[in-house]
This record gives sequence, C-alpha cells and structure tokens, in this order.
Amino acid sequence: MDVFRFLKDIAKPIGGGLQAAVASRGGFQNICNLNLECNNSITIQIEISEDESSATPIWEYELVFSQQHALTTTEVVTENIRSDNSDVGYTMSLGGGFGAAIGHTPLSREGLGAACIRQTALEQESLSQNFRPLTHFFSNITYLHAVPQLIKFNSSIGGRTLENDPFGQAFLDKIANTDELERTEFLSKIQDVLVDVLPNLQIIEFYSDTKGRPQLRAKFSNHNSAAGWQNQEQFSDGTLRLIALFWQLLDGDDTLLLEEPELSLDEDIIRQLPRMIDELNRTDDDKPKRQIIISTHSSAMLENKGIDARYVLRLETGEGGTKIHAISEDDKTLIMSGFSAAEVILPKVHPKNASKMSIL
Amino acid sequence: MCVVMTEDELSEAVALKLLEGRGLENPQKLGISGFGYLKKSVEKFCKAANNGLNVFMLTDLDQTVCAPLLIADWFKSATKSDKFLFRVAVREVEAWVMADRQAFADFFGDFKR
Repeated sequence: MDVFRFLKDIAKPIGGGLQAAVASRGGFQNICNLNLECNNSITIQIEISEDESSATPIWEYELVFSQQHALTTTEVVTENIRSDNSDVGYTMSLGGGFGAAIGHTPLSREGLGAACIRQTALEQESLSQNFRPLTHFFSNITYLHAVPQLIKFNSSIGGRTLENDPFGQAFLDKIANTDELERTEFLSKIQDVLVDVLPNLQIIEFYSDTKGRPQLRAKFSNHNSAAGWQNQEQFSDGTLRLIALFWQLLDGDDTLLLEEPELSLDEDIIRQLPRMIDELNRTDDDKPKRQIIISTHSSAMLENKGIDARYVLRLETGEGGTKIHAISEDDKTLIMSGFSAAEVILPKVHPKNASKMSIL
Repeated sequence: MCVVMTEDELSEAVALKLLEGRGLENPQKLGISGFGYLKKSVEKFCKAANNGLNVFMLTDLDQTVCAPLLIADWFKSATKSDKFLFRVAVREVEAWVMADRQAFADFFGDFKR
C-alpha cells in the first residue's frame, strides 16, 4: 500500500515531492532495504485504466530513482509518462542522454534544468499541468487505518495530527467541518447500515459539547442510562472504526486504501463487511464509485463469495523482499468449484512454523 | 498441481510425507478445519478434480463401522474422478504413526524400555 501513499506524497500540491516522500520514510536506504534486489535504484510502474475490462491503460507512469552514495538527495534516473492521447507524454532519462519531451515537442535541457533530476514531473508545476488527471489521481489517494483510541481521546491527548490524518485522529473535526446537509446525509446512511448489524442502535448524531468540541453520540435501546445515549468515548472500538470507515467511503470518490478494516470487529460483522463496503461504494445509478484497495488477514472477510478472486493479490514475504502474486489457474479452478478466496488463498500466507509457537 | 485436504495437523503432516514419497513436494494445502468441514467439501473437491486438479484427501474412520460405509456416506451421488485420491485411516491416523515402532521409539527416546 505504501507504493500508492508514496506516489501521493510525491504528487500532492502542498509539502509534496520526491525528496520529501523519501525523507519521510527515513531516507532512500530505508526504502531500498525492503527489497534485497533493490540494487541501488527503485522502480515504480503504474498503469491506470478506466475499468478492469479496458484493453489499454489511459495512463502509464514509470519512475526510477536512486541515490548516489556521496549525496543525500535522491535522483530521478528515468521518468516516463504515457497517455492514451498521443499528444501528451513525457520522457526523462539520465542514462540515455538527458532529454525530455511533452508530446512531440522536445524540451531543451536548459528548459528543464537540474530540477528534473531532483524532482519528478508530477511535482513541477510547469510540467504537471500536462498530466493533471494523473497528478490528481495520485494526490487524491486516501489511506485510512482508523485507531479508535485516537478518535476517542484526541482532545485529551492533544497531540499533533499527522498529515492527511491516516489514523482518523481528527475524524470528529472532519465531521464538524463538513457541510451540515452533507453531514446529516452521511450520518443517516451510516445509521441505516449500522442498525442492520447493531440491532440495539437507534440513532447516531453529531453535536458540539459545552466547550464547542465536536462529539458523536448514539442512542441504544438496551442502554440503561436515563436518556439511553452514549457518546463516542463509550462506543466500542469496532463501532467507532465502522463509523470512520463508512464515513470515508461516503466522502469523496478517489482511490481509497483501507488497512485491515476487520480489526476490532465481531466475526459475523466482518463477514458482512464486503457487502457493506460495496453498498456504500455505489453511485446513484448503482455503479461502483471508486477503486478501493483493502489489506486483510481475515478469513471471515475473504469467505464472502461475492469477492471476485481475480482481484485478490497475495503478498509473500521472502528473503528478497515481498512478492505479489495474482491468483493462479489452479486456484481459479478451486474457486470455480465452489471454494472461497479464504479457503484457497489464506493457507498460502500462513506462517510456515506458526504451530511451533504453541510449544513455547 | 496437487491439493491436499486433511482434518488436523497430524493428518496433514502424514499426507505431506506420503506425497513427498511419491515425489510430490509443496502441494497446495487448504485450511485444516476438521472432519465436518472435510465431509462438506467433498462435492467441491469432486468438481475441482473433474476440472483437472489432483486432489488428495485423508480422513480418519473414527466411529464409522468401515471405510466403504464412510465413502458411501460422504460421496453420496457425487462422481469421483481418478484424479481424486481419497484415503481413510483406520481408525485414526495416529495408529499409522504409532505403528512405525522404531521411529516412534526414537522420537520418545527411552520409550522402548
């Protein structure tokens, strides 16, 4: 998932860029250490298509970057951008004689200057305007790994919120800053989905406390306080995570990265997660709204027969780094025969010697 | 490729050893989820074998009277292709392990005494 977050960090308009993206990950060597085959340069290749059935991508992006030992700056070695519109493209290669072109118009070395070695085309305003959809795609990627305690106790912790708030720390502020009509609509939709899985839940609403701090509260029929209300500090971790997840699904239509959405949830609710995510990710004319990339270890989640196993990728960590495997032909046969992605794919990711832990 | 399906960790270890003896290493393992799950999955494995996959399933006879009765009960009307190898340990796969007296004694050290 960090590949997508890395590209976002390069392309985002404020505080972005290759140097910042590398520095925020502890430097080039830290990124390189994740893969022994790194060989002092890192390559990222991305193809973007309208949908899975498209034969040719609408955008292709390739970035090769490295760091000379004597230098602390990271250098762009190669950068290629291709669009299905042949008038839009960009090529920069340090090794192959320095040259760049947008479409059929070659750019002079002087025109580009040393900036092209330290910066990608995505972050240079003069160049990136030619690739706006691509820059938009990368810079609007959202990552969510909501940590319930940070949401519950944000005002008491009073800590710094990380950029783009990946852990949902400022989730309540986000709700407060949303237009009231939209906020009411989102909370109403979330309530509709949640009452299915939390039978005692009646109402979820937003309010500001006496000090003006944003709060969420919910009315439960089985709660024994006089009014029957609980505020977010009393919500279970799972309830709060679900609310943050659903809000994120409703808010916006750009690529969304979800880190283990199953955490803190009951198994039966996890089984419903794929359906609930799909339901909230529909436009008014019932089309999928956005691409969602989910990381999971959950058998209950992958048991859902609605999951198209062609889109399940298995990450295998080995000595040379992490390899990503698409589903094999044999696995397809097993799934066609009635097995779920959980039965076919999960046993392959189980740690080989996990059972030995029981004899410790 | 060969798919292995067993009901517990010991059966899986034995099944893998048996396959290794036939030169089949690193077969694909599906989850170990017990006797009931195995029985429920028979039809799906029949389909997978009919679609060309090699399947090896090992289960314990347990309290059933004999292996043919267990097979009749599990397979019912499902058609078992030759690619589906189904074996029943009578009565438990533990008996197979314990029958290897020498290896069993070696494992437990001075067990022979």
